[in-house]
Amino acid sequence: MKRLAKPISVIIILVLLLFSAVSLLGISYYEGDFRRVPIKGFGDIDWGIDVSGGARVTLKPSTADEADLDTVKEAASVVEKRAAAYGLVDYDLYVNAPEKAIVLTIPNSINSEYSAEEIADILTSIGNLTLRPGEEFQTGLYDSSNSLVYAFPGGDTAKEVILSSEDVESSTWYSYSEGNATYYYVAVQYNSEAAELLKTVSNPSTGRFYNQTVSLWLDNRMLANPKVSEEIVGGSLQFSGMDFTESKVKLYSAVIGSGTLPEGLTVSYDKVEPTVGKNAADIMLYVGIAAAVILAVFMVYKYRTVGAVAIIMALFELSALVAIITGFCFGGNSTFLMTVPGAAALALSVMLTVISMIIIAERIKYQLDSGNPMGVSVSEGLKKSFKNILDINIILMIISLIGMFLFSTAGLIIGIFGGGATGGIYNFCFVLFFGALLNFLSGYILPNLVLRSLYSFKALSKPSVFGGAKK
Amino acid sequence: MKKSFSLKGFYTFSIVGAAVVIAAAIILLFTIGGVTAPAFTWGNLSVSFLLKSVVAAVLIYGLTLIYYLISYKKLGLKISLFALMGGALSVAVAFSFCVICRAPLGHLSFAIMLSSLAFSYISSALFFRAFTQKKERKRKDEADEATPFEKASSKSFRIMLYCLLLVTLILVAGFVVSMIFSSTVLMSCVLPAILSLISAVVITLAFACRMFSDKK
Repeated sequence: MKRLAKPISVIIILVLLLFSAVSLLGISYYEGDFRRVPIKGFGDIDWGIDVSGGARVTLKPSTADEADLDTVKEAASVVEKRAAAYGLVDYDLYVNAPEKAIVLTIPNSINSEYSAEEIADILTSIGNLTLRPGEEFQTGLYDSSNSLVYAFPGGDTAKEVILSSEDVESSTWYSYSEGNATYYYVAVQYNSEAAELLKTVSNPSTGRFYNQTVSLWLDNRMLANPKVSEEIVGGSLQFSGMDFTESKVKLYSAVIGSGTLPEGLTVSYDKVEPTVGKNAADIMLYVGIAAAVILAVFMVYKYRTVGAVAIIMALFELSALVAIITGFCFGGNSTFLMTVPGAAALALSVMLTVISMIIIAERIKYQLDSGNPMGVSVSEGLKKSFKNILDINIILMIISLIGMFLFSTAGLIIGIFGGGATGGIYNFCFVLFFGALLNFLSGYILPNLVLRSLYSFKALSKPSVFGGAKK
Repeated sequence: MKKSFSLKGFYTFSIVGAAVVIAAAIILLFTIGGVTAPAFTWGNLSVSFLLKSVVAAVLIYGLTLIYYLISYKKLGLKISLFALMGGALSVAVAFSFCVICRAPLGHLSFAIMLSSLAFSYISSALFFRAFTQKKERKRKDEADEATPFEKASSKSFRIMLYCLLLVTLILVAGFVVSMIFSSTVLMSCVLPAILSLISAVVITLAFACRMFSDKK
């Protein structure tokens, strides 16, 4: 392996430090009272129930004695499907068999305009989507996103149901952008009988509702009140609302497309306190600082220059993972919901880079102690540590991929194994997978370039500076 | 003779130690019960969870077997089995430490168990590569008296020892910070985390002692 020019190490280190600063601190500014966050930092990560607490909904049949446990379990599987379709990773759902109750807990910090209580409420609602004539309602209420919601159909709208959820085959959502604005839609696919009815009632010449206003209701909440302006063919009904956002259409689509819950369930709510205490985020910050100091002291004392490079690489590994978690790396701004196992995987990934650097440092040290010159020692040390680092990364990627696949909320997995909120395992495996993948960069490729360039500096060309014996 | 006896002793000590820890945890679980995290319930960790875990173990074995067969040829079969056994036992011991130390069973204990699994696989990956490299070198240098196993185990022990030292120091720092912020839940997880990670490395390398110590 050739010696590299001096500026290479300087440029790489500066770029890594700049990237780490942006990724960990994020970029935000204020527009009046509103905080705009173009790039989320570590402090903007959304945390799961363990750290941020959550909202718990308990659904019980009003006459628990007469209720059938199988019916309760079926209802729980509908809620499970909804949660999976909505993309919830960290949630807790189970059937309390003696009480015949369904208990759903979701974290407070879901990236949504709705509060956790309202999301839990919608996820455990009956979920009957009805298409009704007109747009009459009984009352207007403000929901947790501060949007005005028309509630309870009134007048003629209450009297007639054109279509209900019984006719729904599937539901999805989509968006399109026009200028700076993005619009969100829910698309509901009805069965063939309902499709025929929709076509008939929307026919421009004979249709009863052509050029008329109709309204779509999710139970007692009016979602949209469009005017039928064209013939509806193929049974696909698309609707939107002024306040529709990505998280809202995802939620509506998840509830509409996953089936309905039986009527007669009583709902109760309570708050769940964070498992690890209210100051968990502060604790993690201080432990992170302490860890950085411990690693820096040990690595620099033991391996000198290689140790210092290890600290920069560990910082890069951490910040690159944070960038993936916050969505910065993918150009988006969506946030992955982190749990305590996810944080453990984050720490483990940083340790993975440190282990890789220890392997490299030990190899270089061995070569130097054997009397080889600097250039040979660095290149041989790097060459011989490659397979070790490759083994560790590949094996951890295999384990985490399997964990991500089996403990995800993918429809296929729920179909085969049934439900089960094991979001913590998915979270751990997700972070560890990317940690192991990034470790090829932070644990081998980048140190390789930096170390081969660093020993070109006269001050760093002595074996003792690279951890070898002083003599 | 002396060396082989001490290696055997190390293996026996580790396995018996692991068995004692697991047995103590089972007795505790069936007598006093475990401490469950407030936001966590075991209601959902039923047949589905166990089934997924078994399938995960089978898939991990299958895929690591393919990788090790490509990397180490014939030795791959033994290596992947050994890695799986070490990993599974490490997870069981980590769970037992959580029960014994009265750490809340939930996401925190999952984090400890999964970290132990990862540490176990890292240790085994380090050991195997060092073992095969030393074996190769030994073939070229007949004068070298140390066996590939001795060199590989000492090398992987040293690297993992540094790693454990760093992790332990960081966890102790975590304990102090949690104490300052009065987070009793995090405090209760530090000791089982340290014990679990140490035991994961010891158990994995103890298996190596048993399975590879006679390989010259």
